[in-house]
Amino acid sequence: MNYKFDFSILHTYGPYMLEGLYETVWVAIPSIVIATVLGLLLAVFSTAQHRLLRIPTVVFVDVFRTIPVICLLFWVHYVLPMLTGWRFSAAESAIISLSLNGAAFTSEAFRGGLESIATTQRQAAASLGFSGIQTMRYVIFPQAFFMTLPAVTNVHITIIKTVPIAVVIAVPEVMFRAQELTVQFFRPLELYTGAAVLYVGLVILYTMFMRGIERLRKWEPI
Amino acid sequence: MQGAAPVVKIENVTKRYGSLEVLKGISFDVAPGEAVVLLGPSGCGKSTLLRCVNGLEKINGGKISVGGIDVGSASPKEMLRIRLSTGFVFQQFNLFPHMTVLDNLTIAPRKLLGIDRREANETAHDLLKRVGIPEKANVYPSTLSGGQRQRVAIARALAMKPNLMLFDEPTSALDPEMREEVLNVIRSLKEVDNIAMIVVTHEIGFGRDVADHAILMDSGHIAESGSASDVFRNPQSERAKKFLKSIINA
Ligand SMILES: Nc1ncnc2c1ncn2[C@@H]1O[C@H](COP(=O)(O)OP(=O)(O)OP(=O)(O)O)[C@@H](O)[C@H]1O
Ligand SMILES: [Mg+2]
Repeated sequence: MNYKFDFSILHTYGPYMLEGLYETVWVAIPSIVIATVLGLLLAVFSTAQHRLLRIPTVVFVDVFRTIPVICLLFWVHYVLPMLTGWRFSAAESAIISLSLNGAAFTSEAFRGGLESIATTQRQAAASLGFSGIQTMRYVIFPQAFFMTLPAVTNVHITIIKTVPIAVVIAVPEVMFRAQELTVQFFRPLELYTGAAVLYVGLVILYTMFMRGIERLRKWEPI
Repeated sequence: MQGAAPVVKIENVTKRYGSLEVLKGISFDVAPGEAVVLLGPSGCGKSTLLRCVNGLEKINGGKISVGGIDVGSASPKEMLRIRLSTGFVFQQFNLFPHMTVLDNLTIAPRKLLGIDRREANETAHDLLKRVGIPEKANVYPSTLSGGQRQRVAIARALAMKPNLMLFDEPTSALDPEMREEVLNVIRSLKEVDNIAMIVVTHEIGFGRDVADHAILMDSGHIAESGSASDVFRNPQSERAKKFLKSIINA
């Protein structure tokens, strides 16, 4: 191998790459928030008694779980404007796509969590006189929240790691910049290694944040 | 007690799960302050019957009324009244693991009866004293022994000041040493507070000494019914004799 390492390019263009991380974060955070809220609603609806609530939810989840993100990105960014006349910036298209995809997966995680809270807990709450909504609020959600945290964290991390796919619609995040600089300076090894380090750092940071939330649980399941 | 309207009236109740007929025409009453023990082999429908009394399951035929309200046709408001006046204690305790013992006892009074936190806490502390674990108010259920958990579960039901208690094998998940303390609490509910109760249990001593009435169920029917002392000391049917022998030898 006669490739000569020259990490000085990162010294020069590091700040530029780091700005790309800022873009990554600003696609990832809204996507995570929307995916989580939407996923929670979908999970609650998917356990609903009424078929009019349940069936569209199941269809939604199955559709957005199975469409490849890259396909969804193109669709939202290029096809949707043709159909509706709405235009989205590249970052907005990425957020929409990742939210839809992420919601399908978070809803699965939440559903698992809601179902893991045994029917005996619901019965205990019902026998005290709690309504279905009160049971959700005081008994099921507070338990399911912590039960689902690890699975939901995994979905969030997947969302973060999927952001770079948005290079295909030119969201100027880390991967886009690494590619751009590689074409210019032909230093792929240094640039893609630098990009990888930034993503790893971001994921580690996020994981630590979620661990912190997990540690707020003072009780043990029985 | 004679002439007083029954707290629970069960008339010819049938219940199916799919094609499985679990209850095949059960009838009996529970008078105010009366303790009825319900016995019978596993799978004969005892838990199902208790859940039907509390409206947790719908019956397919017959009628159950609690406090004069027909459970089957109760409006949500009436169902709430039934549930508020009825305490349910489960075999597996079913405490809320994410709440302290104190919160387990106060959540329902505060959210459903609108009692303020201070008063609810006071009542809860009194109840914990009464069931013998005043020092456990601020711990989480996972740190309690089985017997302590069951006493918390009873206290949680009592916090709603019920006039009917349903116990589903309250001691069968407990080690023998812990059973007595739980049974003593249940006994005091009858003897001190005069709360009517249906107790599913195979505790012979409890049935004989505490209960007024005993009902032996067998595959969805009532096999024998009578005063507790008769049923336990002098069972009439062959079925009852055999069953009692089997639980005494167990
Ligand atoms: N939710 C349900 N769906 C279908 N079948 C059920 C359900 N609950 C109970 N059963 C069936 O109904 C029958 C009676 O069950 P139940 O739990 O009432 O019996 P049990 O007398 O309480 O028995 P055990 O002493 O074992 O607690 C059993 O055959 C059981 O399998
Ligand atoms: Mg049972």
